[in-house]
Amino acid sequence: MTNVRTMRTQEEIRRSSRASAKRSWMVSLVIKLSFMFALIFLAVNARIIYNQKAEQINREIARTKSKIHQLNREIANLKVRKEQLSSWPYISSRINMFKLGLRPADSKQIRKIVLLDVDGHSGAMNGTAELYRENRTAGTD
Amino acid sequence: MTKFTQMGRRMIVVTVILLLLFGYIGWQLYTVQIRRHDELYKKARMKYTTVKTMNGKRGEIYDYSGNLLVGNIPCSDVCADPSIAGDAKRCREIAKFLAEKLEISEESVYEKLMDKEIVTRNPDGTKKVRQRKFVIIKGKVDYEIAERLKLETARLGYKTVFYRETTKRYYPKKQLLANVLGFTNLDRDQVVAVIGLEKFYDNKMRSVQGLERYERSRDGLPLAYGNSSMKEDKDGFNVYLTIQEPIQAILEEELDKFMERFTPKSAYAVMADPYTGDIIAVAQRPTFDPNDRNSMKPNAWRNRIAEDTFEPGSTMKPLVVAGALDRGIVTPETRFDCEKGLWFYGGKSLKDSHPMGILTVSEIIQHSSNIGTAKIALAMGEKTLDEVLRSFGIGSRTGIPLKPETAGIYRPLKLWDTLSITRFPIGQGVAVSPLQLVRGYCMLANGGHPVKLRLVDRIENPATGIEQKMPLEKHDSIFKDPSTHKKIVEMMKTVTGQGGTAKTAAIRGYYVAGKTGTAQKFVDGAYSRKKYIANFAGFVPADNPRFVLLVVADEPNGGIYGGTVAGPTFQTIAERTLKYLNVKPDYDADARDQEQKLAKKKKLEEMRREREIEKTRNGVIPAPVQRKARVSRPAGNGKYKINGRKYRYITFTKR
Repeated sequence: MTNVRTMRTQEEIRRSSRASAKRSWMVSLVIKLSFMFALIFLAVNARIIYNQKAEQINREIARTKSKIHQLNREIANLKVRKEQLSSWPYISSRINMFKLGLRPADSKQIRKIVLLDVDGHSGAMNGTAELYRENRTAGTD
Repeated sequence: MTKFTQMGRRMIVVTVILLLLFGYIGWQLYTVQIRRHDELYKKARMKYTTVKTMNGKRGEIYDYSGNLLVGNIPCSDVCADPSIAGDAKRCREIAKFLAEKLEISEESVYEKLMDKEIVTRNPDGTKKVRQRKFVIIKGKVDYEIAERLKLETARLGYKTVFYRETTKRYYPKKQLLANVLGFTNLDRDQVVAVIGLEKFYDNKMRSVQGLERYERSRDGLPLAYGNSSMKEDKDGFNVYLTIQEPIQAILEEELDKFMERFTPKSAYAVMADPYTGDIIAVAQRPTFDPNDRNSMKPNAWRNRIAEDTFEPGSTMKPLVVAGALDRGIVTPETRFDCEKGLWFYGGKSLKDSHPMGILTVSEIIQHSSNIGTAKIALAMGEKTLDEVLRSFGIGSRTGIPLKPETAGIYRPLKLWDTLSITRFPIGQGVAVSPLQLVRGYCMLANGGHPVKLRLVDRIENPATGIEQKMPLEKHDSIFKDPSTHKKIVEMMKTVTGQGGTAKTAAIRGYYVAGKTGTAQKFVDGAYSRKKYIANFAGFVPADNPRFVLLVVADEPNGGIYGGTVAGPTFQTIAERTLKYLNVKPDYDADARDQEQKLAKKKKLEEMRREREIEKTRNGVIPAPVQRKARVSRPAGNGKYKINGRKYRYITFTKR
C-alpha cells in the first residue's frame, strides 16, 4: 500500500521513523555527554585555577612570613643597639671622649622660669616672654 | 584455514607476552604498593616532608622602668657545604674572602672547605665514605656583618656559603649589674644558666621548643593541601627587676671612682627602698663584662652581696642602741663612763679609737664609742641583746633570689662566751652579708617594720602580657615604743654632723642618718692590725628616707676608717641620687650658710667692741686675738722626702 500524497510505502515510513527516533536518542546522548564532560572540564579547571591561586597565596604568605621574620630580627637587633647606645656608661664615655664638660643639673642654674600656656605662649608674663623668646622654658646662668 | 591457525598461534604468543608483562607490572605494583609500602613511603615522606624546630625566645630581664638589661640579639652562624665548594683554587678564593670579612684565619677556612669527605667505619670494619655537607666557618656572627656578607656572597655566586639564623644572649649594659644578672653558657646548642638571676629564674625564662612538620614543594615552600602539624614554640617569661637603671649607673660610676681612689681588694654598695625593701641599685667590684668571656675571672663571678660576710663593726651599734631605747633600758641622755678609751672586761681589754670620758647614749653613737656600746649591751643583758639582734634579721637569710645566700655568722645564745655581750654589739664576732645589714638599716629607717628585700618586681608572660607581681610583705613594727624611731634617727643624724665620725658623708641641704663601721679583719685566728673593712650605712633624708645606702670597702689603701673611706662615696652617690629623684631638701643650705656667716661676723664684731672698751678703760692696746696659723700645703701631690724617707701631709691646719 502506497501513500498517495508522499508516495512512500508503509515500510519506508516505519523505517524512517525508527531511524529518526534512533538519531534523536543519539543526539540527546551526545548532548548529555557533552554537558557532562563540560561540567567535569569546568570543575577540573576551576579546581586547577583554585589550586593555582591557593599556591600563589601560599607562596605570598611564605614570602611575607619570611619578611616579617627578617623584620623581627632587625627590630630585635635595633632594640638591643638602642639600649646599648642609651646606657649611661656609653653616654659618659662619649662625654669624656669629646670633652663635653657636662655637669649635673643644679637648681641654682635657673635664672628665670617662664610659664607657658596651652598654646605654648607665655600667658601672664608677656614682658618676660619677649625677653626670653629664644629660651622659652628657662634661662641659665 | 592454515592462515587462520597461524594467526591464532601469533595471537596466543602475543597474549601470553602481554599477560606476562601485565603480570610483571602487577607484581611490581604489589611489591611497591604492598610489600615495600612502609619502607618506600617513609623514604618518600622524608624527601618531601620538612621538620622545622623553633626554639622560642629566652625571657629577657628589664629594670623597673622597662630598660633592657639582658636580651637576645639576632646573629648568624656562617656555614659552608664543602661538597659544592669546588676545586682548590675556588676554595682558596672563598677562604680568602671569608677570612677577610670575618677576621679569621684564611688557612682554617681553606682547610674546612677542602675537607670534603667523612670517613666512618661500618660495624663489620669496612670503611664508609660520605660527602661532608656542613661545616661552621664562624659561629654567632653579628647581625649586621652577616647580612652584609649574605648580599656579597650572593653577588659573588658563592653557593657553598649559607647562613644559619640564631640568637645569642646579650648584655647591652655590659658590666652594669653583671653579678646580679649572671650569665648563660651554650652546651651543645642548649642554653645553660650559670649564675645570678639567669640561674635562679632559669625555669621561668627558659623557652619551650616548637616543632613544625609540613609537606613541601620542590622549592621548599609548604604545600597548601599537604599534611602538616605544628607544636607552637613558647617564649620564656620576662623578668622585671626593682633596679632603677639610672641610679644603678650612678652607683657603679661612683664605685669605680672609689676603687680607683682606695684600691681595695673588693668593694660593694647596695641601695634599697626602706619601706618596700626594693633593691634600687647594687654593685660590686671586681666584676666582669658578661659579653666578654675573657674578663670573667672566678673571683669576679661571686655575688658578694649575698655570699660574702663581713664583721660590720660599728654599723651594728645603732641596732643595739635602738633595742635598748625601745625597751626603756636607756634614754638618749643616759650617761656611761667610756673609761678614757681603755676598759677591761672578761680579762680582755676593749679600746676606743678616740678616748672619751663620760658620754650620753647619743654621744656614744656620735663618737662611735665601743666601750659605751658594750656597757649599754651589758645593761640589756644577753637574752635581750640576742632578741634585739635577731629581730633586726641578724643570722637569718634575706630570701633574695640569688643563690647561694649566706645567713651570716651569728652564734646561738647558748654558745655565747663571756666576751660575746661586749663584742657582738660593736660588730665583732658577728658576720653579716651586705644585704642583711641593709635590711637592718631599712628597719631603722622605716620605724622598725621588718622588710623582705625584693630584687624582682614582676614576671611577665610575653604571649599574654599578664604580669605576676611579686608580693610586698608588711609586718608590724618591732619597736614597742613609737618614739624609739625618732630617737635613734636623731642620734644617727649627729654622726654626719659637727663632731660626728662621718662629716664626709653629710649632704648639703639634707639631714643624713648613718653610722660608720671600721672592722679589723680576722686573719689566721687573730684580728689583723693591717687589714680592715671600712663601711658606712645610712639613709637620706633622715626623717623621711627615700633610700638606705651601704658602702663597703674590703682592705682599702690610703685610709681605714668608715668615715674617711666609705663616707665620701656614700655622700656622692646619695647626693646624685637625691638630685635624680628630685627630692626636696630638708633645709635651705645657702640660707643656713648665710646665717652662720652672720653669726660669726657678729661674734667678731662683739670681740672687737670688747677690745675697744678695754682699750678706753686701761688706756692700753690689748694684744690682737690670735688667729689659727695656717700651714700652706707643699707644692705637688702632698708627698715629700726628708733624708730619703717618704712623708705625706695628713692635716693642713695647725691647731
